Parts: sequence; C-alpha cells; structure tokens
Amino acid sequence: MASYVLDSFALLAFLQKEQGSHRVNELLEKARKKQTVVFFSEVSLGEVYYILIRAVGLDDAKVTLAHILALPLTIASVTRGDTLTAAEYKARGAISYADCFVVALAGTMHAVVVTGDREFAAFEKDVEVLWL
Amino acid sequence: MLYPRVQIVSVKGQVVLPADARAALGMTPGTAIMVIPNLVRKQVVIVPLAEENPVERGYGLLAGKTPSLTKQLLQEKIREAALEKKKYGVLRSG
Repeated sequence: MASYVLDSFALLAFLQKEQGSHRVNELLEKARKKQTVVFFSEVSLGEVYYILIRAVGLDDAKVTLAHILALPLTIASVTRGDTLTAAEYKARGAISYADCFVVALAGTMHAVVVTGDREFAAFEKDVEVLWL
Repeated sequence: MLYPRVQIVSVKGQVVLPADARAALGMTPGTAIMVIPNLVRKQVVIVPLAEENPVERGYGLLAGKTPSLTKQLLQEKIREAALEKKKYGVLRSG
C-alpha cells in the first residue's frame, strides 16, 4: 500500500480548494477508509499554523488547526534520524528547512511527497513526488 | 431562548453542558467536540463537530476567506531564502 507525505503547500491548497487539491482530497478520503496512510510532519504543522495565524489571526487559526487535527492525517513527530537527514538536505542549499523534514520523512516511510511547490523538484532523485 | 449558565468544574476536570444547550446544538453522547483554549481572553471555546466526514468538512474550509495561503507560503520561502543568501551567501535554487 503506497503511503504519502503532504507538505504545507498541499494542505493549504486543500483548505482553499485550490488547483490540484482534488488529489489531496482523494488521498485523505482513502486514508479515512484506511486504504492508505497520509503523513504530515510536525514541522509542517507548525509552518501551516504560523501561515494561518498571519492570514486569519490567532483565534481563527486555532479553529482551523482543530479541523486539521481532525483529518485522517498521521502526524509524524521529528526523530533524531530525520533531523540529521533533513540537515544533510538543507546543506545542499536548495530547499527550505521545513521542507527538508518532508523529504526526510518521505524517505524514512518510503512514501510519496505530495506538493505543488516546485522547490521539491531538486529532490526528485531522492523521493518520488506527486505534483498537484 | 438559551441563556448563559455557570457550571462548576469537578475534581476530575469534568463539566456538565446544559441539556438545552446540547439539544440546541445537536450534541448527543459520542459527539466529538473541539476544545479551543484562549489564554488572552481567558476562555475555553467548545465547538461541537457534526458527525460529518472531517475530510469533507476540511476541503475548501478557507476557500475565499483569505487570499491564497499557498502564495503566502511561497512568498515566505522567498523571503527566507533572501535572508539566508544575505546572511550566509547560500543561494537556494528553488
């Protein structure tokens, strides 16, 4: 069974029903039916949360956060191994630090990264990417 | 008509939600609720979650309610990359 890692872009696109987000919707529906596993890094969760706070304010961001936490996402804590792998990706200098954790998590879980952020194109040799 | 009510928290941290409030909001045994603490206002807001699909509920939850969040995310990354370049001379290719 293939598993997936959403990045912040994918989740934010889902929340606003942006172009390509139907794929995220489909994956989450499958996850709800236990037909796949959709991971989301704690680091991405923080990234989405601060973007939400800036966009809609703290109170509304908390409400949205509660909705996010109700989704059939497997929120993945950061491990020492993933931290060091993320650091190695970051050293290449072509990606944000938060996204390094997405790539590291996908590598650990043998999962497909789901994103619409072209920044991940530099890592297609490391992990499979499903583009929105 | 529903009115504010004072309830007391038990030693176990439990509090009774008044029957009329539960009925008005469609809360039955097993209904999931969101508990949202607000330290600034010193409030705890309780939001009942209808027994609907959380994926359906989340899909498009913020559509049209704020400018594109993905664009804001990408702009933030550009700002971060520019700061990194300025500080460390590292150029991000993305």
